[in-house]
Amino acid sequence: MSVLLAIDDLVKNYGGLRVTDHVTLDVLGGEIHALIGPNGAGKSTLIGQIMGEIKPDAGRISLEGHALDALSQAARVRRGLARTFQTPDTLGEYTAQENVAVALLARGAPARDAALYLDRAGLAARAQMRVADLSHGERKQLELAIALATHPRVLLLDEPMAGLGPTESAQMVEILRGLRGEVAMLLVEHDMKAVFALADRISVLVYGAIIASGDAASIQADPLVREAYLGVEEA
Amino acid sequence: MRDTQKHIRIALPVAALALLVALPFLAQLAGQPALVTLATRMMILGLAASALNIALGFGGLISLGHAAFYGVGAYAAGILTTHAAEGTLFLGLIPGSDQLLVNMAAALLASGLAAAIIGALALRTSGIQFIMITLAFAQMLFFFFVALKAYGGDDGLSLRRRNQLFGLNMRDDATFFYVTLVVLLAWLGICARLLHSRFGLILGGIRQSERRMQAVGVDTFRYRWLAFVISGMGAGLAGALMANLGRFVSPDMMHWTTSGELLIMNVLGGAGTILGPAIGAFALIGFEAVLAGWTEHWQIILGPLLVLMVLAFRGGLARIGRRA
Amino acid sequence: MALVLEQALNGVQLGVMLFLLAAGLTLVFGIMGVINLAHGSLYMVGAYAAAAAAKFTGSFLLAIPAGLAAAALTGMVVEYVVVRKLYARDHLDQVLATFGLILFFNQSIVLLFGRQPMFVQIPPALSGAVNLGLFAYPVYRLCIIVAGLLTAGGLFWLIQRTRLGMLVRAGATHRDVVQALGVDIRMLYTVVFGLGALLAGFAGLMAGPLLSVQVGMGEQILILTFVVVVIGGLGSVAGAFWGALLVGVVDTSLRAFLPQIMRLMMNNSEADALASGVSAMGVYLVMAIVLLVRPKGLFPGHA
Repeated sequence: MSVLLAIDDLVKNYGGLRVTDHVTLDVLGGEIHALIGPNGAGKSTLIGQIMGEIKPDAGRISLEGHALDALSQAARVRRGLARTFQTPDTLGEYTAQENVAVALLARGAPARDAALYLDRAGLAARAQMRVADLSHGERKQLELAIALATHPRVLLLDEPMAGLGPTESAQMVEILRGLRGEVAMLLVEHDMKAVFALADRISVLVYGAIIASGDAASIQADPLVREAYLGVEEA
Repeated sequence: MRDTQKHIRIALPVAALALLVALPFLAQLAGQPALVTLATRMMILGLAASALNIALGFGGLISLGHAAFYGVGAYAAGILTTHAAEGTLFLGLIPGSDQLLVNMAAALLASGLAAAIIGALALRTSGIQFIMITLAFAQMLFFFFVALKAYGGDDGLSLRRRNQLFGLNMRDDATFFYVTLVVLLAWLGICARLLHSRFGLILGGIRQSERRMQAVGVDTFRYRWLAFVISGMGAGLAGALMANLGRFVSPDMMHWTTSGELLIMNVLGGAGTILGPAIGAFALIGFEAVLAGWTEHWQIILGPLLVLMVLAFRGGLARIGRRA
Repeated sequence: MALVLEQALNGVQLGVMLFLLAAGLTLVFGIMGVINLAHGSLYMVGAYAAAAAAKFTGSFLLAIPAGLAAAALTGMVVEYVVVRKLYARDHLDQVLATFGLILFFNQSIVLLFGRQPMFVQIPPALSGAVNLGLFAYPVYRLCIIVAGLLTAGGLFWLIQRTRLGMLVRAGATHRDVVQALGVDIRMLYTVVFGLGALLAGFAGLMAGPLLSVQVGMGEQILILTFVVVVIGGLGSVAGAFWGALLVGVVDTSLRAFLPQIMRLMMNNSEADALASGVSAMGVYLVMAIVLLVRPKGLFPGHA
């Protein structure tokens, strides 16, 4: 599998605090690469930098070999990056269908394709409902449908399971599993069950730095990870 | 139930339109010819308020400087009319014109240009700064026209007669009333098309969440800027009509209180809807006319009423007009 | 040379007046997140109260507390009755409600004092000029500069060094923490708003003898104050200070020198007309440049 998204030696400081500490990470075509780490490890900030919302202090980001560093967020989306937000950021006055339609219109695709993406995210029956009437779980699914509608090569998922009950989580895992192979994903997630169910590879971010990377078994066995992360999780 | 609502939603504007069409006759029957001019004024400011609505209601941009574009449009028409009357050239290059269509086009162009420049600067900020900057640049244009002695400066510019259109008798107030009505209806039609277009849907998305729209790859600045420019052009169009109605243009048209009143009209009638701002204009000007007939200090009543109106509706009246 | 220095002093004099207004405006925004269009009305109230007191008592000394008290009290009442309810609202509501307040205040002044401007004499003790070596400068204007700078110094001391200032700075970012300290945040807001009104009233009463006191004076200076705040950076008192001096000096020197420069290039009447136009637009062009280079202003505040 070829490298789609490559992050090379990324650094970001806020005042005296280093939130991204020489992060090097890649996402291969078709894979689900999970990024785990305790709260405040800098996972969301990393997604922000990849998307171009936050400007890194140093380092390079490229997609399919093309440098993204000088590109605006809009240009990065056109190149094939998309993200979801941890707290759903959907358009409250619009219906689910319209929320997906604006993403399609933004890239010049016909709005009627929205049904397709709502269906992929398990929301076909909710198309005409306004966001205000959707449940939290459905809004998370809508986040996913909107991101898919931009037709991404790499999807950055910021805690898609956060705030979901067990049934909803299981449904989201199924939806994401259905997308495997079609779109590569960087999955930031706290829900270990979901991570182990989905991830091809797992990287662990602690205090802005990657401390381990590998498959599920090696991560679970890694003493550094157990100390820095899994210990926190149990508490 | 829903059918009744739908019927009312269609019947009310139709009834209002019928009333407007009949108004010059009714005014004559009632022996109140001044009503025609008042109604024309309402329609022109309704056009201006509806233009502001594109920025405010569709785009979520609180501009406190739209009187500037209204004034620039008025001056564009006034200056060309003056040159046509004198047989001279504007800036030694451009011949004047006494044709309404030409002067409306000039007004659209001039106000669009002003809005393009001011919008590009003001949109580098947001929130309170945006409000302050639009107000400040409008004040700058106000001072510019005060200093423009060649076109009357402080005293303004009087026009000998109204612009020509298809050989109509524009001097007749009723004729001018119908011309204004047609322009207003055309503008409202454009607004309706715009709101439901790709542009309108994306602009509405940006108003609700800029971050969301950036994340789906929208260059949000460009959309906002375009909305601001179109909005300024509509205000300029209204200015050109107002210059013709009173055959007079002056810096006072760009006074910042006019910008404030355009905002009030929007909130009163419902920003973000197609007809709301025009209805708000009719309501505010009508209310002002009634109050002014009662006491010259009518603002002492309007001011506290405005405060009460804002405080009484939690979250503002504007929300009520939106798709709830 | 003497002329340049004299105009520079005039610029500083306008600058400190603008600062008194901008400081209140930017504090109220920085701490409460409110845009207050009626800030200029408080300036007007201060000017009218002082002018009326001077007229009835014949004493400028009594006019000072009258102007200050009227502005501060009006400010606190306005905060208590109206502005307090706007903190949680969006900017559009704030603009509309405070616009309504302007209409109310302007019309109230018309009812009380009529439309004719009031003129205030410079107090005899402060009339005349003082010799500054190169040139003589009006004592009254010099007093404004000194009073303005002292007030600015006092304000910085208040914000940086006192308990009130600490609460103000903390209240801007950590509303709940301040509340947990047992401070009545609503009382704090009223005090801060009153302080802003006091400063505006101070500017108004000092402006009385220099300008005519008339309805609408508040809005003219308010718009110029907006320019100051945009240039200086919203929410920053230091930005308000330097922005005010910049705007004061630029505005004054353009008005003073541009006509002469223009006259070198064209005939007198054309030069004067063009110069008056350009100099009136000057500070707005400065604002445009600042927006191009630093959209958040020269001293971006925490807000």
